[in-house]
Amino acid sequence: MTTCHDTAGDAALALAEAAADPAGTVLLVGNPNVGKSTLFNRLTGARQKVMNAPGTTVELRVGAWVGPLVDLPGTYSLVSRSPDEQVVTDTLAAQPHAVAVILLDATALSRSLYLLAQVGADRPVVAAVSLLDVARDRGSAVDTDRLAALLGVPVVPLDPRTGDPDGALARAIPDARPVAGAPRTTPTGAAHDEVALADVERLFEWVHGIVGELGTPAPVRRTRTDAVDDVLLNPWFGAPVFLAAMWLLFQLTTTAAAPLMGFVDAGVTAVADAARGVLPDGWVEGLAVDGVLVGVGTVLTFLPLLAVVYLALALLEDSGYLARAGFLADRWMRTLGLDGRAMLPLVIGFGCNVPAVAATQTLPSAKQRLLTGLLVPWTTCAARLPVYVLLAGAFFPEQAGTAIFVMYLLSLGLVVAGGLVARRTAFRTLSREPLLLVLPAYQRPRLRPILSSVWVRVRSFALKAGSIIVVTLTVMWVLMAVPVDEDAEGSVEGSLYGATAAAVAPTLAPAGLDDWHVTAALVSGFVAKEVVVGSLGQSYAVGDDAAALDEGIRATLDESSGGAGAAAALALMVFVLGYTPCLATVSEQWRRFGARWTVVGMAVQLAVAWVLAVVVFQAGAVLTRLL
Amino acid sequence: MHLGDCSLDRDVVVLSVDLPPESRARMYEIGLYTGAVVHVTHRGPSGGRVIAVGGARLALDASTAGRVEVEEL
Repeated sequence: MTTCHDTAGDAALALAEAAADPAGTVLLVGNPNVGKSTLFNRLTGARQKVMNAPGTTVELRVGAWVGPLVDLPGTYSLVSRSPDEQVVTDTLAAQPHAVAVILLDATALSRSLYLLAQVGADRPVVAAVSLLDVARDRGSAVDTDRLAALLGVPVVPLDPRTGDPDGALARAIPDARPVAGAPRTTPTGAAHDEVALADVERLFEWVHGIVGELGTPAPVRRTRTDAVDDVLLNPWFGAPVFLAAMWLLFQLTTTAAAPLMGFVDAGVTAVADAARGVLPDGWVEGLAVDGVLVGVGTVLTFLPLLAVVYLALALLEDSGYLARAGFLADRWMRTLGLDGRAMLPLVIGFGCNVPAVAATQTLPSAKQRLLTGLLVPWTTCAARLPVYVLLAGAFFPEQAGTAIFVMYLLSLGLVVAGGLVARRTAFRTLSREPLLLVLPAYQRPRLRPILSSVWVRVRSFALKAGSIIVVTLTVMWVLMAVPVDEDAEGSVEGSLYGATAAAVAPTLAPAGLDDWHVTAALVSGFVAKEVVVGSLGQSYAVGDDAAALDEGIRATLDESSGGAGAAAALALMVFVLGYTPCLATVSEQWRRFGARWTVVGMAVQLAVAWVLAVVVFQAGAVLTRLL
Repeated sequence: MHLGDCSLDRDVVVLSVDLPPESRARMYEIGLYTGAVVHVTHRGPSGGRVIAVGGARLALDASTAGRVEVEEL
């Protein structure tokens, strides 16, 4: 466990203890959607650490409880079918003596006991039973004392949303023991085959024996959840409700988050102004304020947005609607080889790519999260809109709306095409998986555990992705501060940054964009698309004069394109859509998917942006000559 | 008869699951094994089905529902 996301005193200590004393470690295991992570949050509070399992992009959390507590990904079986499930199998195999707490779902006891038998055949376990109230409402209450007698292990009834208020679960840990009579299975840990299938049948025989002896009555046919699903899954009402939920989510990432982001931005500006007043003029002030402080400000500005999106996603997940949304959108997303739940991050991406990459956490498998996270940058975020408006307004004032609409269509086209290509190449296995989704009962979300989880995730972004942002922005400031041309000292053009932009400009000549103003703006756009228009204004030294900026960019593109300025403008819009959205998105991808996939993603985006821009410009230039 | 052809709220017993072993094993693990008694509670907008397996609810896409052979009880 080497790739750590953040440091939190107790959790770091827990991690060290987990490595040094595996026997003292407690592993939290359970099916997906039974409240395992909620229970983990309640047991450990904020004393936890988020990290990737070694060599994977699968997230593990370690926290401090009676000993180090490890929250493993949700799984139905130890015969793994995905990287997430493999992490569960590997972690259990690496710590054969660690106590496992298995969270059983009282409404799906057979499925839960199946996992319990696999995990607890040789290892000391404690069974915690959740959703007892839902099972009782459905007429199939579970007798936990009888279950404990049948299994020969401690069985603790609990509600994950309240945790372990009376300490019963903690007190049961020393009494943990292997499950009595559980059949041992072939520890394949690999893909399913006929041998594994035979094991499955043998295990279920044992499970049916336990369930039979428990004498749990059959559940009622119709539940309140079924009644709600009559509406939410109805072919006529379900889709509009789903689209309304997506629209609300999009609004949260744009309209609702904007005032919060503005508030933080104003605060950072005030601090920057105060710092300028205190620090001596020159390098120290520039580095501290325009380099480091601007970087910290960029990170802080994203935090309210991420918090809002994490909160919304947690509410959707806890209420039980997220799984329904996945079912409703499944057919559309399946053509891309993606799970229906991938619709959410992609919708959020049209507001802002950063929380969209973060929202991939709701997807069930590592490959799904990775592919969705790699497609998100092609959803055209709100920050790209001002660039389209500037260029469309300057070159096609009569058809500006149409030109911008085409960018949104092209964005959708890129996501679909990217998904289709990925599905036939690096992500070939995704398309073969049938949809088999457990729909949890609807529940009223509990705010406290949700807020605790939002806090942990936001802090994790601030510390890991934030450090990448601050370092990169500081390096960029240094490049801008180093003069290379004494005659133009003090201007962007005369800096090392300007010289670099001029040096790379010829690579955009086939797209009619061979000009340092353009490349300097595109480099700044790598940091954030919000600064592209400002960067162009700065390079023309026109300040806020919009007309002068229009005139400047028209003159530049007319010259760089040999008279086909409109074609070059369209090519530039396409390039802005296609290449890296911003440094914060890259940092979030890096944090979640690692350096290799992030760099591959950036290279593909850059290549696609270049090719599309060249095609658009060349076609536009021919049309310009013909007309 | 396949699960996708079933009427709503009728008990059926699973006879076979025509999927590759790895997908079949996962369906078994989730509760859709040969001999399991289930009933269809909802039809999804794209031909998918929601079924009750004990107290749990499972959603299947249309293609998967068409590969589970069942018999009415």
